Formats: sequence, C-alpha cells, structure tokens
Amino acid sequence: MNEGSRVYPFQFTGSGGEYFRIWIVNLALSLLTLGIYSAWAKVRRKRYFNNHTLLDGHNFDYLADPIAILKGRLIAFALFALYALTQHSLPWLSLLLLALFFLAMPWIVVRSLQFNARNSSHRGLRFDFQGDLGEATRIFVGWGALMLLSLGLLLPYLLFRKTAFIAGNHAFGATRARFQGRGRSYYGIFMNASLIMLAPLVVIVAAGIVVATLQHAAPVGLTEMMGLFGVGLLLFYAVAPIAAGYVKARIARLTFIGTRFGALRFAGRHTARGLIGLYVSNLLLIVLTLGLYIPWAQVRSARYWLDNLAVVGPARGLDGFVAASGVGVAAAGAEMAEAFNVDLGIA
Amino acid sequence: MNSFTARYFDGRSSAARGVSCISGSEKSPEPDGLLVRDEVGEIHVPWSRLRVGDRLAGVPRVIYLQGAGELHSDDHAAVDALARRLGQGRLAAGVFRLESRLWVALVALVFSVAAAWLGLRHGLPWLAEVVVESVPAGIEDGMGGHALAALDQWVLQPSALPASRQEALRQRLRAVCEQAGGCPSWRLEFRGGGELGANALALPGGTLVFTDEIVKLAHHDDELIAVAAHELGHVRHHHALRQALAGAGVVVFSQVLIGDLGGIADLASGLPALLLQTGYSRAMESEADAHALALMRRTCLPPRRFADIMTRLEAARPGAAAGFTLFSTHPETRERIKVFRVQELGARGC
Repeated sequence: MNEGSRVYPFQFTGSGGEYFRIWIVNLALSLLTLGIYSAWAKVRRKRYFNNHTLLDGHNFDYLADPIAILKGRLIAFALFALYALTQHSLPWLSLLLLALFFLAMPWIVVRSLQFNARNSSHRGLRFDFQGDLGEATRIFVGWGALMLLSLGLLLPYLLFRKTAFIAGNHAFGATRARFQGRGRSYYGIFMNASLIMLAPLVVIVAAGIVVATLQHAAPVGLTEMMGLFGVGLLLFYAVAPIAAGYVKARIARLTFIGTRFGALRFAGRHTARGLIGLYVSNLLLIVLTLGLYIPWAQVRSARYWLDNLAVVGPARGLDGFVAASGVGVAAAGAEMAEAFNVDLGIA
Repeated sequence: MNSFTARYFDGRSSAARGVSCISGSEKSPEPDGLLVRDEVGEIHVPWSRLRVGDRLAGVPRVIYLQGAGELHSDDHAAVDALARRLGQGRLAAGVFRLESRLWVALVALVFSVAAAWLGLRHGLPWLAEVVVESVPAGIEDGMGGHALAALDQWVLQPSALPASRQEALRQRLRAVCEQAGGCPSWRLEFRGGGELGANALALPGGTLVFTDEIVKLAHHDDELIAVAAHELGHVRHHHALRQALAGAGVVVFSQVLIGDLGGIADLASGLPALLLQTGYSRAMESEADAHALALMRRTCLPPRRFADIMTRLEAARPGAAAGFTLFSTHPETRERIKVFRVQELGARGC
C-alpha cells in the first residue's frame, strides 16, 4: 500500500428485524392503495439501504421524488396493458411494440442508470451517470446482436463492455470514474465456469464407461442408462449455482479492481464460496418461510456485499471531492425497465 | 428555542463540519429560519428553503437546505419539532410510527396475505369482467381468428365429416337457439382432433370447434347440442378474454408489487399465475354448465344428454387440452356430471 493512503471499509448497519417492519408496511400500504404507494415504498426501501450504508462514518442517501417514480410506473403500466391486450387480438401491433421496446432498450438503460445515480448522494454530493446513448446502442443492440449470432461466444466480451460502460461512466460530484479492464479476463472466468458445468458430464461419461466394462458379459439395460442420466441431471442442477456464484464473484472483483474515482480505488474480498453460500441459504430460507424471509435475505445480501468492500483513499480523509452542477432526470426509464423486468446487468 | 447539533455538508465539497443549529435569528424575536454555525462562521437559512427528510429507523435525519447543502443530525426530537413547525412530513411521520410497532407489522402481514389472496382470486377476475364489457367485439373476434389459425397449424386437421352431417348439426343448434333465445352469435366448425381427440372448444368471438371424434362419440345429436350449449356459455361470458386479461393482470400485479420486494421474488411471480389459472377456469366451467342447463331446460332437452356424453368423454379422457376444453379440471368432472343427473329428476314442464 502506498504511503499516505488508508483503507476505509464500508459498513452496513441495517438489521433484518428493522427492515422487515418497513417491508411489510410498504407491502400492506401498496396493496391498500392498489399499487400507488409502491412508488413511495420504493423510495423508503432504497433510502433504508442507502442510509444504512456508511463510508468513513457518513451514510449514503436516496433522494428520488416518489411522484417521478409513480409517473414512470403509470407509463410502463399503460404500455404493458396495451401490449397484453394486443398480444391476442392484434399480434402485429404487439410485435411492433416489442420491437420498439428493444430498440428503446439502450435509452431505457441509460435513463434508469442516470435516474438512480442522480438520486443517490453521499456527503451532500450527488452521483451521476454520464454514459452516452450512442455507446449504449453500440453495446446493447450492436454487440448484443453479434453475441447472439456468435451463439454465445461473444458473451464474456459483451459482459466486459457492459461492465466498462456502467462502471466507467459514473461520477461522484465532479469526479468521473475510470474503468480499466480487459475482455480477456472475462473469457478466463467463463472458461472456468464452463469447466465447472462440464464436470458432471465427465463424471457421467466415466461412470457409463465403468458400468459398460463391468457388465460386458450382459448388455447394459436401458434403466441403468436412464438412472445414470437422472444422476447427471441432478449433478448439473447442483453445479449450476456454483458456476453462477463463481462468475458473479469474479466479475464483481474485476469491476471493483478496475474502477477508480480520482485517487480512490476499491478493495473487495468477495469470494465465490461466500456468494454461493449466501444465495443458496437465502433461497432455501425464502422457500421454507414462504417468502417471509425476503427482508432478512436482502439485508444479509447487502451486509455481505458491503462488509467485504472498502475504499482505499488518501490518509487525510475523503473530503477532497467537489460538486458538479447537476440536473434532474425523469423516472420513466428506470420504471419501464422494471415493469418489463429487464435485467440491466447491474450488481 | 430549539437547538441541536449536526454534521454539515455544503453541497460543494465532500468535507463534513460539526455545526450547531438554532431555529431563530439573532435580530428578531420571532424566528424566521435556521441558524447554522460553527467556530468559523454561520449561515442563516430561511424557513422556505428547508426541507426536513423523512425519519427512517436507525439512521440520522437529513435536513436539505435548498442550494446550500444538507445537515445530518441524530437529534430526532429536535428535528421532529422543526418538521412540525414547518408543517412538513406529517404523512411520513405517520408511516414511521406504523413501521416502529411490532403489532402493526403483524397486522400488516395478515392483511397483506389476505389482500393479495383476495385480490388475485376475486379482485382481478372481477376487474377483468368489468374491462371485458368495454372491449370492442372486434378484439375478441381477432383473438378467436388468431387462436383458430394457430390450432389449425399445430393441432387440428381438416374434418373428415360429410358436409351434410356438419350442416345438419348447425341447423339443429340454430333451431335450439331460436327456440330458447339468449345464445350469443356463434359459428360452428368441425375439425379432425389430432392430439385433442374427442373434444369441443369455444374460441373468443363465438367460434365453436367440434372434433370429428366427439361427433362420433355421441349416441344422440342432443348430446352434441348440450356440449354446444356449454361452450356457448363460455362465449357468452367472454371467458377466454377474461382469462387473458386476468392473466395479464397477475403479471402486472406481481411486477408492480412483488417486483418491489426484491429480485428473488421475481422467481416466484410466475407461480401464482399458474395456480390461479386453474382456479379461474374452474369457476368458469361451472358458469358455462349453468348456461347449458338453463338452455336445455328452456328447450326441453333432457340434462341427462350432457351427463351421458361427459361420462363417455371421461372414459376416453384425452391427453393434451387447449383453450376452453370440456376437461379443464379433471377431478371436478364427476361432480359436474352429477349435477346434470340430479337435475334430470327435477326437470318439469316438458
């Protein structure tokens, strides 16, 4: 570590029991108001998580206007209703809507990142997202289409471009983030993930050969083969979350290592093992409690991500940032993205 | 006099300063704003430029000074007093009180479960019923045409029944409808059933599809008329459109509400839609049965005819099903048949 720099760990101070009460009141009021309160609920949820995130003793904040979120949701709702109605009667119109939606994707991505960033603040300074629409179109439409044409071979590269676009275009006050990384590292991650996924296949083929040689006197029956196939399928489902957790942890590490805000850099300790344990236990508990565990799961996730993350910055403190003149942005992008349930690939 | 300590961020840099805040001004006895001071200097922020942030469990309060940064304070009592003075955040204060009580959380939990269940089970179908009334008939016709084209392409085959037989059945149904009244406009089509086997479908817009197999299965033409009466019930109550609308409603409902609760819940949002579909169709089947029964009584058709063909269909239970088939809900079929048998005894006036 350089002289004159210091590690500032992130801290998450929220608790599951506390958040459960907010969560359930949010849910009840949203139901009571036929969904209208959900915009206010979103602000309270985001504020709870941002306010309980501390860096160097100061919390983050979320400042979005619920009315802006409500407007966005109404637009998204109307578009979805139109899509659902025309799907059965005027398929060409619904297809046209779908095509327009995909064409508008880059815009929706940029707007929702912008809305979220501009409404997040720390130490009285706002974040911003400055990615431009042309670049977003090149990545999400251009490279997205090429990825499909390449039958997935370009997926790691696409993920690299997405990460670079999202991480590298954020700003805190007047300080623009920089992202450095290489597509090659993403290919390394996916190679390892593929090996994990292939492991069950290798085991099954090996077992199949062993069974075949042991029983060479009598021919191998169909039932044995089916049993082997079933075991293979089970193994496949067992390794899928392992591969997913591995990919997520490694990409997070590359994102944190590659991103800098001026003199600040990040240090993360997230491991594939930790993430897999978190996801699997959360999912199991949510299923066992019929969803009641969701607030605790969300708090546990936030704690895992933040407790293992730190900022490395100047030893004299983190007060050397200055503001940029900011402007507001309507919520439609973020809300449309949410209503159509599009994964924006943001961790 | 109301005073509290806070951390001040000026909104121009990330530096924090410890300050004390006093509501008032030195010059006038009646306070007209907030005085923020530290050892270096002080600023005076008029009431009109203050916005007190909502209270949230376990975190400091933020007071936004329009264009002049923000204050973070842990003195909730003093900040609450300030908010009251400014007349701000009354709603949020109420929400915070709700969030701080365990019994409210328990009531909210019970209420949410009940409301979500009732809303999905009864609210959405009811809403779909209301919306259906304002949907132009053209949309339903379009849906039906679309569905028939898809069925013709993937499942159904051209009918092998002689045209004279088809026409005879159409004429019989026309006569029954004229006698009974209350039939929606309909069109009767015949197709080879393929995977559907012996079955009958009602498509939105009024197209009824009988498979050749069901026509052959019938021992009496009135059995087919009874089936048509049942399918006309589906048409009359716009069941297909209602189900499509309710299905879309479930998706929106899950997205807007449950989507807010976190990504994990999205995994499960498909499930209630699936479970509810069967519930909806069960209610719709009995509605269609009631329609069939009423129509048969008015035209003196013995309700037994419906029970007879249903029993035979049950024995030759077909595998796959599409649209509103006679067998949306297998376990209930026997119950439904029983209703028609019981009615048989009570039918009078013929």
